Amino acid sequence: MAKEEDRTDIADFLSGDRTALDRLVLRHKDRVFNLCYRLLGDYSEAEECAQETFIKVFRGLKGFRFESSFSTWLYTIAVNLCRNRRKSAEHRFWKRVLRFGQNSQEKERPEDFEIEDPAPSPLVRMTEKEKEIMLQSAIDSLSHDHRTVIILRHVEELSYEEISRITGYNPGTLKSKLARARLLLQKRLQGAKDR
Amino acid sequence: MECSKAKAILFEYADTDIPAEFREEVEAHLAVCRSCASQLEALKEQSDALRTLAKVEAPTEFLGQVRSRLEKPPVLSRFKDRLSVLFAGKRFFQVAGAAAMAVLVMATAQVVLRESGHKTLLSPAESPPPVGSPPSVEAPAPSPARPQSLPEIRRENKKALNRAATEAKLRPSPGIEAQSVSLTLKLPGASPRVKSRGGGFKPENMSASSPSAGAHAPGAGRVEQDVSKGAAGSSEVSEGSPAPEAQKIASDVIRMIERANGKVLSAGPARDPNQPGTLLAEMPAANYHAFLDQLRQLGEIEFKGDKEFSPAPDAKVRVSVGFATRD
Repeated sequence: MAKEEDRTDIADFLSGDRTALDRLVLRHKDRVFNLCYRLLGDYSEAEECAQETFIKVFRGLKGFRFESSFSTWLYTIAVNLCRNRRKSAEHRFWKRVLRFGQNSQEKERPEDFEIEDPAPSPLVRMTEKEKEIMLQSAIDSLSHDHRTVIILRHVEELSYEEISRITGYNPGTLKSKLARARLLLQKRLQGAKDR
Repeated sequence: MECSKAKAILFEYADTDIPAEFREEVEAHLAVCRSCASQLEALKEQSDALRTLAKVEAPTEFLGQVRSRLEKPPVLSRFKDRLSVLFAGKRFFQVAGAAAMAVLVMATAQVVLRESGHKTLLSPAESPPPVGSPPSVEAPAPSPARPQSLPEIRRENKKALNRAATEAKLRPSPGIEAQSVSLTLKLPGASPRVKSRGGGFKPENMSASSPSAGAHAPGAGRVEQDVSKGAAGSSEVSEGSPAPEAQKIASDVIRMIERANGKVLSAGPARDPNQPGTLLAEMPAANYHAFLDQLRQLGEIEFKGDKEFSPAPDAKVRVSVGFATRD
């Protein structure tokens, strides 16, 4: 349904209907904004990045061929913009300063899919606010690739196929990255609880 | 199913639909393995926590901001607009291009002129050397401070010629061996007229009806004028430099050497101001006798060595021409 509406609005926008732009923005702004916020962990940066996503999309709308859905295209651009933003020197600085629960000695073992401490999750006994802060900090401590797949899958609840289109990973790589990301997230949450 | 195998597919079991046979095996294992069951529980809690994370909404002014940013032209086109305003359209580039082209043409012309000037210095056939300054044989070594006045130029030229003469003596001509002959040109008894400070003339050593008078090159008179200008107000003949008439004779002899396709290797200092210094020249043997015939028009020739010297036609002859006054 949303796909059909998107298609109609895009056609209207290209034929000069400025209100079609408003409809497209209003339909997708919250999901794009939430994705940017979860990927960047900062409200103002997420705002900037989400706006930039729409600007980029509307400027390149003439070249959109509907090979994927409009929302997938939006997400792809948003993910790339967020990655570039995090790569910027300023963000690297803040990441260094605010790194959460990450031990520099800790090394990722690609074949290890076991949660070593199967104790109950620390999230169980937390209030919603505490839970959110801890989760967002733990997400922020992941690499961009792991953060992206975990957010797209478990926060935005996109299908594996959509995530593959957005990230460019084949399904096998995607499953592997997702499993690894969840394992790391669990470790970070456990580490945060122990401190 | 073993624990390791179960844990490997636990993520997929928790997250996606796995085939039924695997599902049954995993469930059977979970029923008996507390560790794997706890792990699954942790994964589910994590999924629930992520799913129930608050959905952050975009600010209310988001649409307005996107619209206003879209109405602004992109950064690149803004930059282009600013540039075009700054440089007033194409005119700036046209003027800049024309200026660059003019600079290029001037630089090229400068290089070409300098190049041709260099050749002129090296090749006396293209531009005759001035009378009064010894002819250059090789390009003098570039000096950092170029002499400005005529006496300075003369001194510099003399130094360069002495250097060249020394080198020429030490270094034989490559290829064909040059045969040497030394001769003295005995000029008629009158000494050349020398201008005095007051504009008068000193007694002449050389008669006005000298046979060399007709053989003067057009440039000789000009160089004479240069000499008189350079020494205006003082004695016209400086110490060690030949008088204008002697310079004229030297110029004539040099021209003869050039006509014989020869080149002047060195010009010695004038011992007598009324006579030129000894000239050392090299020329093809085929032109040697023609050169002698021309030289005889200036005066009598006296050989120092073998008078019947007859070089091989393909050889080179190195001729030393000294000057003396006929008694």
